[in-house]
Amino acid sequence: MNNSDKNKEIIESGMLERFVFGQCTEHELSELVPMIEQNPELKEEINRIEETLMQAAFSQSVAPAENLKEKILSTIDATDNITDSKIIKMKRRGAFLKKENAQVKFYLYAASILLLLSLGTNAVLFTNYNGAKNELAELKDSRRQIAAEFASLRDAHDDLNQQFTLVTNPFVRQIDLEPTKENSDINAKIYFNNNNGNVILNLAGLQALPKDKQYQLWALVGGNPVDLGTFDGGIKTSILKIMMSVDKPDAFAVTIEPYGGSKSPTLDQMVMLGKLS
Amino acid sequence: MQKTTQLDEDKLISMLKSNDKSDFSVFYDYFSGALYGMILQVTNGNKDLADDCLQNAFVKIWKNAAAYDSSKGRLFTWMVNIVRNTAIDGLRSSKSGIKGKIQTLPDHVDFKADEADADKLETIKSLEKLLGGMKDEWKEVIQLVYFKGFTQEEAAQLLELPLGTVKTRCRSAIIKLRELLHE
Repeated sequence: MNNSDKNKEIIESGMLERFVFGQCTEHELSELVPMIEQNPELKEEINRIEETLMQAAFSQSVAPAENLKEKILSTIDATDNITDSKIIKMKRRGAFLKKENAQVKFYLYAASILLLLSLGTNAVLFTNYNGAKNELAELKDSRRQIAAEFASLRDAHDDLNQQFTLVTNPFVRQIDLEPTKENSDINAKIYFNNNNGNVILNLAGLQALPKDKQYQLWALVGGNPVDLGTFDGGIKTSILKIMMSVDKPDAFAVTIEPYGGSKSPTLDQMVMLGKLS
Repeated sequence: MQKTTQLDEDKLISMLKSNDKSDFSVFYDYFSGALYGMILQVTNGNKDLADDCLQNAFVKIWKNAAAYDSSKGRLFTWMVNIVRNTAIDGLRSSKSGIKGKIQTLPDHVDFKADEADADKLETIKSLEKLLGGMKDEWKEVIQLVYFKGFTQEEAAQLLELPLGTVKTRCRSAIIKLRELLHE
């Protein structure tokens, strides 16, 4: 396939829209980004998509309430200037020493004592201030950690939710893929929708492959293998993957193929099989 | 939509990068309407929630200005992605979980608004005006994915379509959208 055919195929697949929406997976990005960098045609198309979406968004403009701008500005200000200003206020306490009268000596003593007291207070306040600052930094740190944990829990929750929706769908069947090689504990699950042929793969329990290899899912339909797409193992985040759909499969099989997949399955590289009895 | 050409993009980028508060004001005036409109689509016209989201999103945009890299895409695209994610987070925490997102689906797919909520109706009408001339199957996809902030995978699952179909329908929808915008 020459370059312009390839570009055309990418453009028509809707992949560039997915890219602009910011929804490409790491794997998709690793393939797509170098191609975009080398092909002005793709870059140009991305630019057109972005322009269209921007115009669409501007056509839906709604003016926010007037006071919001001030509110946002003051939030930005507040996060900028939390730390400055506290100690500076105490600088000029010695100023009244200039006052001259008969009791100047008394005032000088009094002033010295006050100054010492003030310095002492400053020192205490400064220590407290530093303590508070450290505590604040620690709190900020732990808040960040909690936010990260929360995000990963939320992802896990969304995953479970998706699985639950699948499992409770009366059209969806779960097929367990069993290892075909001895001494292998590799396994995966497929959710197959009888109604529309959708195939969703549960990747939990698949170890990572060497970089030049990928898993490939096949459906056996009337004795012939049908390619349902490739996928990677060892993925920690979203473990559900939507594969290509298929009509009336008899069985599903997974082989290990060179990266990007093969046209037909390499039979001695078959690692899992699951039949729809 | 004429607005996009009034201020040149490089100028806006340098305003963002300047971290200067008087620049922020111009920057905000330029983009806030379009971004607020996007947020209202995600929140189904809920203005209180949208106000919070706009505020959080702009603070994020301003604080993360250094992270924007113009070689990776246009400014507006970068901001829309921040805004959309902020709005989805806002919606999720207000409705506790993805369930909330799914429950709102029938309304924006079928355009059946419940009569009680005028803001919601307004939001739906405005989008319908733009997308009205489009095939339903394209409309529902572009609406979910661009305006409502669904991932293509989520849209595929909800509409019971293969992911590839969702992708190509997004493509067709954008071509049609381009046409509609220039009519």
